[in-house]
Amino acid sequence: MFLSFVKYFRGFLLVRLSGYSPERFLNLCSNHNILIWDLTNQSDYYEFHISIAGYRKLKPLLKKTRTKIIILKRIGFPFFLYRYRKRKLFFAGILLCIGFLTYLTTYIWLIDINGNSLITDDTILTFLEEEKSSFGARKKEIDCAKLEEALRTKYDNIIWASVRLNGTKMTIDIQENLITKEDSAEETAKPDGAYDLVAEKEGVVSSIITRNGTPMVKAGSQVQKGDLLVASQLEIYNDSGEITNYVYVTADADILAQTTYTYEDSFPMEYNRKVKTGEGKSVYALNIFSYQLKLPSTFQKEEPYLSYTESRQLALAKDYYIPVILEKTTYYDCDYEKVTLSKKDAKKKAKEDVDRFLKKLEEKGIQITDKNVMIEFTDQTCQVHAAITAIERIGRYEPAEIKKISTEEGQTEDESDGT
Amino acid sequence: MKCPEGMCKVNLGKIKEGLVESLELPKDLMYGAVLVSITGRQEMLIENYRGILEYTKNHISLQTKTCRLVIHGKNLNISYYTNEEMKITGLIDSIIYEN
Repeated sequence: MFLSFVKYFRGFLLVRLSGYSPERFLNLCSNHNILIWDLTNQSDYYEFHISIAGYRKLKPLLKKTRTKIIILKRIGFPFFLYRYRKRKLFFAGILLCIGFLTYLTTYIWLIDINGNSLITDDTILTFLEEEKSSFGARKKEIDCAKLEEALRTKYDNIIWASVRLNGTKMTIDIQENLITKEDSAEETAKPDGAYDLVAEKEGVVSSIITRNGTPMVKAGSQVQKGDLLVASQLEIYNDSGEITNYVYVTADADILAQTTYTYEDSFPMEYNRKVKTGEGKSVYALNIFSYQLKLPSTFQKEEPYLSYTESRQLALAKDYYIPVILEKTTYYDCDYEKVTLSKKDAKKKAKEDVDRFLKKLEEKGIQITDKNVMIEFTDQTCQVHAAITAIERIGRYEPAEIKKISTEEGQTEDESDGT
Repeated sequence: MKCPEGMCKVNLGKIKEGLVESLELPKDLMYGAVLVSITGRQEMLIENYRGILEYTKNHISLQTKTCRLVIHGKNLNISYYTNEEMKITGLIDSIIYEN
């Protein structure tokens, strides 16, 4: 394949050889390293292909062997150029095409993003757009080192970034910080300065372990939302048991409280359900910018029906999207089916719903100690009521109000007055 | 002392043969033997030939170092040939070695 392309590009001839001793001529050719191919014999003459360079070397051999050669056909690119030498616009077109392609390669047409798991491709593409380095940006105007730095400064999660340009492709490799900000924030959640711990919600305190601050509640005390649990204020007494000063610290305590959750839900025992019957029919549509173009289809939709729509944005190359969205809508014929739940089924459904609710709570780190589920049937509805008792942390930091009853100066003044 | 020419040749030939056999040297190099590889009935590659003696549509005869190689067939074409090798296509009927 490659060889034949090279042959075509350099040009070759189909020639006819006749004369006194063609075999001798053929042997001489191979001895002079002149390549001949597709040699055929037609009773009194031979036909074969020979390169242009080979043909130029044939003259002495022809004389020596007293053979004659006729050119039958000229094949190849050099002859093609010669034949069309007068078609100026054609050559101009070729040149223009080459020029245009070269011009196009000075722009970015493909962006490849690797190594991102928390930051989406879209985020980075938007960032690039803001930096004017997105699709269609001139390669000359893109400063890779600057982009890398901008990526690192804009997104804290990115701890290493590399931007490379290969041809019209920009490759962005990033390394994200696997310890996210939230994880590290939890460890250092304790703010600095004077902070009280207040109740996040109402409940009964079940245990309190204070590490710093003045506890205001005991195990067993009922608290309302916003109640002070641990004060940041520490009272300093003098020898006579009077308060001489207040010191403010950051309150720190583990406070677990018993809280209650209620869950209420009701659903009908009878309802209509759509049931698919038969095969679906698909209808395609193109969304160009905001204009929708429906592709012609013989399908007529009839009520009732179920429809599913899938949409896909078209791309010229990977990640190089054009504002054209292909939409495929599939319609299924369907019938209404009346479903009546038995009491047993309804109970099962109610239980599943409650379990799902409990699971959600547990995911938040709330310990469930007790639950009381009541299912009632009235008319055609099933009512679910659940009271859930749980144990959870209820402390929340809130800036403390700093009281300045007695300052250092005031104290000394009082003393001087007294004596 | 001169040895009779025939004797010398026989001895030399035998020595060479023994040498090639014991050292397992490639025979095509040592004897200049022709190598023929045939694919089905349509294609044949010949290496180590000396020259073309005759070429018509129905038969090709080639000179090799030790013998002549005559190929009979129909519509025989030479796809290409160089100093070292030659490729023949067409319907091959027979291959004959002549002295």
